[in-house]
Amino acid sequence: MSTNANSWNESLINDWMATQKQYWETWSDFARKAGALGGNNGQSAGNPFAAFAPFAQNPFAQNPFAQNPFAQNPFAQNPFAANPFAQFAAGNNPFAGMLDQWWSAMQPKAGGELGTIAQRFYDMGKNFMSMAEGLFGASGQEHPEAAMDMWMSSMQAALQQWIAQIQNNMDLITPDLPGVSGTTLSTWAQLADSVAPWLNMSQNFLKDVAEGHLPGGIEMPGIGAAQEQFCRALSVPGLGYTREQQERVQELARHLLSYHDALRAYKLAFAKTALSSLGSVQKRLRALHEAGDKIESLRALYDMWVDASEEAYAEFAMSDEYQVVYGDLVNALMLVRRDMNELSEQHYRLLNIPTRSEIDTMQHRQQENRRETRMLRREIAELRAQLDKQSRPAPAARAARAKQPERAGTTDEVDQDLTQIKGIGPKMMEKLYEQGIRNFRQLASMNTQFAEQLDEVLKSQGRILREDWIGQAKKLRG
Amino acid sequence: MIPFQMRPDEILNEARSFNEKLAKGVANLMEVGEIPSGVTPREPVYKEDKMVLYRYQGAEGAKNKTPVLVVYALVNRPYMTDLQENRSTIRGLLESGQDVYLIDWGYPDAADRYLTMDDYINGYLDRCVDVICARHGIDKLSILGICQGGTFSLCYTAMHQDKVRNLVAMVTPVDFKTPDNMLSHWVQNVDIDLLVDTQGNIPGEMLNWTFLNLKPYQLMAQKYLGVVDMMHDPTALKNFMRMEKWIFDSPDQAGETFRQFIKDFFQQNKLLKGDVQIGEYRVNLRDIKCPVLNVFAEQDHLVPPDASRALKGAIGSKDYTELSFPGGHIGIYVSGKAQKTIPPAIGEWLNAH
Repeated sequence: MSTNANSWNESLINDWMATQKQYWETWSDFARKAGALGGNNGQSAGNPFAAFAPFAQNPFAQNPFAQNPFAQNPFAQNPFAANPFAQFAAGNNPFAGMLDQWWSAMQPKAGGELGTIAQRFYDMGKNFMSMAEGLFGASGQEHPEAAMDMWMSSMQAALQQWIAQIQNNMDLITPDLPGVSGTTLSTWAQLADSVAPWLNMSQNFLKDVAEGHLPGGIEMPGIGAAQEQFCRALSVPGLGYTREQQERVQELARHLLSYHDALRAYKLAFAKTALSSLGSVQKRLRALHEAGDKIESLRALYDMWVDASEEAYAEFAMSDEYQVVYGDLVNALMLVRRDMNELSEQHYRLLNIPTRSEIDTMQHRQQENRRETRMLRREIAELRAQLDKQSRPAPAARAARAKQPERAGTTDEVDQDLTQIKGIGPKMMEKLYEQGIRNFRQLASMNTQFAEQLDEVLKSQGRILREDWIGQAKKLRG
Repeated sequence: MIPFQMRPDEILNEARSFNEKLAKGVANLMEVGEIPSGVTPREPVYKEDKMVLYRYQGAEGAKNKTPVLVVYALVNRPYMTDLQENRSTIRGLLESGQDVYLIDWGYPDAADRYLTMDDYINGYLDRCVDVICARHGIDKLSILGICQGGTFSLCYTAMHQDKVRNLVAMVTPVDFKTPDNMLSHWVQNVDIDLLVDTQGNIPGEMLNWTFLNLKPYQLMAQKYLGVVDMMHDPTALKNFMRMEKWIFDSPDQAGETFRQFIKDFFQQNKLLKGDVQIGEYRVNLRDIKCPVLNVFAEQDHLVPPDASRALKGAIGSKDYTELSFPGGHIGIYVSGKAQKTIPPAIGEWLNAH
């Protein structure tokens, strides 16, 4: 093993090769398992890696360092490629690239929930490996510390370049925090997906407008002038039979413009935060340096990076600026969606197809009805309980009355022998009494709906209607 | 100057060991198997629409004759309280002698978009209380509200104090505008009417990502790196997966309820001002006269402790106790430390009241 950290030698390369071998063997072993798990016929699937013979295609099987882009000048070309966390750096990164190969073999076998989780590990692994790669490259330099400095400042330059692009309305990148996928903007981007064709179209269109080209081949000099002109054109009142349609489309176009403005403002704020998170990392590094401390593992550097970035992000997320750009973005997107909904509804109405707003109206009314029904039922139950209290005679009086002959239907407040109805036995009568139904008059006055509900409560399997208790009660009521 | 001191071979070594762990770990991941949504046996005792009221088994011989109803948030799923055998708030409560009921709100769909806070609190919740009281032949029960469910429970108790004997509020927001409340800060400039009118229900996924974005670096990246170190252990991995399943299991929010909750509570902070109107009721926290136990987490990034502490002095009850836990919003239910302290403390408090 080399003791000189800055020179590459035979043994180190051998170690590297051994690493790769072990690496692939482990992955292959796993892929075999995944194959057996995933297919009906795991045996015949064999080794899924055989198909693409990893070692044959592994660019490092020959001379890993010849092809390592970092071995030369890692920062000369695409500045983002040097960002250890950048999602879009993948291409030439051997560490993360190997995860790519594994993932493409593995992905079809890891379905459903597990696949989603595995994806998160994969994303994280790629970021971490990109960082390892960046450091690996830097540590191979004559002056690793200078290379590290360069690495940091190249990220800074990339972000600044991005900011300039946003300011000129030229960027097409959806921003993410370095090292994290699925941040706020991508969340909202999911909602924007439903209107994606419009957004893309307007994005290109806006690029034209920003460059001074107006529809119809009109050229406007200067950034901003064309957009202003375009907005004015959008405010021209609609005319004739299709007036309403014209106005809606104009409104949609205006809202698309505002959405892009809001998006640009958000991206700008976001990019500046990414920049300040770099500053925050540098600050911590400086503090460590001054204290004479050293970071001695990838993991430690990563953790430090996370802490510093999280801190910078939190400051941004709690700022007044964020509150404004975030709200504006959501509101602008919702306006576009609302316009789109209205336009489609108009279309559906012409075709006599039910629309969302019609269903909404029905659901709204239905919910109000349900609420009212609940309330009425409760009121009825309360009233019944009150009646019950008033009508229930003292035990002695009840015993006395039992001896008297029934006088059917005289008043609501008497208990009557419901077993006179065919189908009602003593047990069922008791159940009916429990529900507050104590005489023929009450039974007779039931409507079908109530009878069905009662049937459900009594678990009498439709007998109330089938055996016509209501009709029988009407006769017995006299 | 970068104070980074690692030789290339050390970097390789660390990368190699990381790769090994990840490869073996993901293999273990594929063998984790089914993750249950809650572990303690229970039976449904009442159903309405998508809502189910459960009673946990082993409660029949409960020492405490006043049952306790757990009211969970509409956000995420209630099995957070019953993730695994040795990490279960529910089990802890049972062991302390409580008869435990829990409301599962279900997954609302587009047909539920007009469910209001009135429907949830004075409808579903109130009827569950009636059902439990009727089963036990009692007039009052105890309520344990969690997070948004805690806010619902406060409102419920203020409106129906005659039915509540004791109230436990866990990680419950009361003051929605403390300076450290990031969620609240974000929604102030959002046009909620436009959002709900356009969107209908609010997709659970959207809320979910919003929560992850409170700490994106830790929750979306660093967390998984940490797990790689313990992926070789199938038990530890399975436990991680329980949590992971829970985090991403997010029901949509009924549009109208979301509208009122964000506007009245987050944007206008009406609960503390006594200005919340729910159905026929005006909610005044001073109407809460029963004993209250307020449990919160000191490192809570979703409901900052000050948001919960605001309950003190806002209610009409003189019997008020605070229990603060040195951990986070989720840790208070699942960490080993919480397991040993929180459910027994709540149980003891309930038994003493």
